[in-house]
Amino acid sequence: MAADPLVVLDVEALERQTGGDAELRAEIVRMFLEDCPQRVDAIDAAIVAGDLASLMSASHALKGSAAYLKAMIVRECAAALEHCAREGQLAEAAAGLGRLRVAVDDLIPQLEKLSRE
Amino acid sequence: MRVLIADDDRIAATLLAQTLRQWEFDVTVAIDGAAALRHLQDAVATPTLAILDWMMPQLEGADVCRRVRREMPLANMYLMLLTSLESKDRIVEGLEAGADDYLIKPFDPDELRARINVGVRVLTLQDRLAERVKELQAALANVKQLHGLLPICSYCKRIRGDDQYWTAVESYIAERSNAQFSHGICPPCASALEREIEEHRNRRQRG
Repeated sequence: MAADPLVVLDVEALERQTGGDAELRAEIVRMFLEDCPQRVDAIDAAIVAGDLASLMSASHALKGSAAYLKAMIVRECAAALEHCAREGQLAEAAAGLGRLRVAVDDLIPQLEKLSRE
Repeated sequence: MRVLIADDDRIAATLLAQTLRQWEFDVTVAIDGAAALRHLQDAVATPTLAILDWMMPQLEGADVCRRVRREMPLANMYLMLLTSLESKDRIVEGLEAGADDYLIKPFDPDELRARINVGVRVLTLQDRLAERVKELQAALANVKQLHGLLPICSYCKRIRGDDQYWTAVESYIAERSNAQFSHGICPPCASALEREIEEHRNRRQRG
């Protein structure tokens, strides 16, 4: 049986994670919207500089936040980048960054919509 | 119950802190391992549950556990490590460093609640045991004061204390223990006293 395809944002799971607290949900969404562009920039800069340690810490951080937000595709992309950093695969990381940017572009409007609700 | 959360990811820290505050815990947040260790050192006398992220700047969660167990071996602290699924194979290392339990990120609120309850149970039990030890130590200190060689007067039964004063035996014991005295007359003394009164009465009648 094939695994369920990942969703961009699992709102139901996010609801469970925040215990149904709308204020808490709004706060972590706001934090993610603030932090995410910086984290993607840090990943980009680390790949350009060939700095594996920075690539690992930036992608690990993004993976953690995305996992709490239930932003499943961004989480997977960040996990893949962390793996590249661990294995020293810079070329794969550059391709992974492209996939991450697409995933983030899909996620941001959904989070913005959620924060307006 | 006091809970320390140490996580450099503000989203994780906010979620954990708010979830625990909803459960009425007294929550403190540290943003890195060094700050977490300082908080734990300050709270050495208070039962504390700490949730420590593994990967943190300055000092990792496992290092914090190691330092706490080495530097504060008697502190009543329940330490939980937060680790990602990919680092699950490092759990043994974390437990050997001194952690009591671990949680996989992102934490599941129901699992967090259940594991926190275990921690609270352990901390409460430890705290009660520490209280009992304190009570026993205090009782032992009282008993100790009644040990040793006591100079006692063979006639009036007063005891000479360390201050060289002679004290009635009941005062001496009462000051050094939780014993209290109720005064009465024992049967042999009562008979002797009756005889004495009788003799006194007879002497007066004869006189």
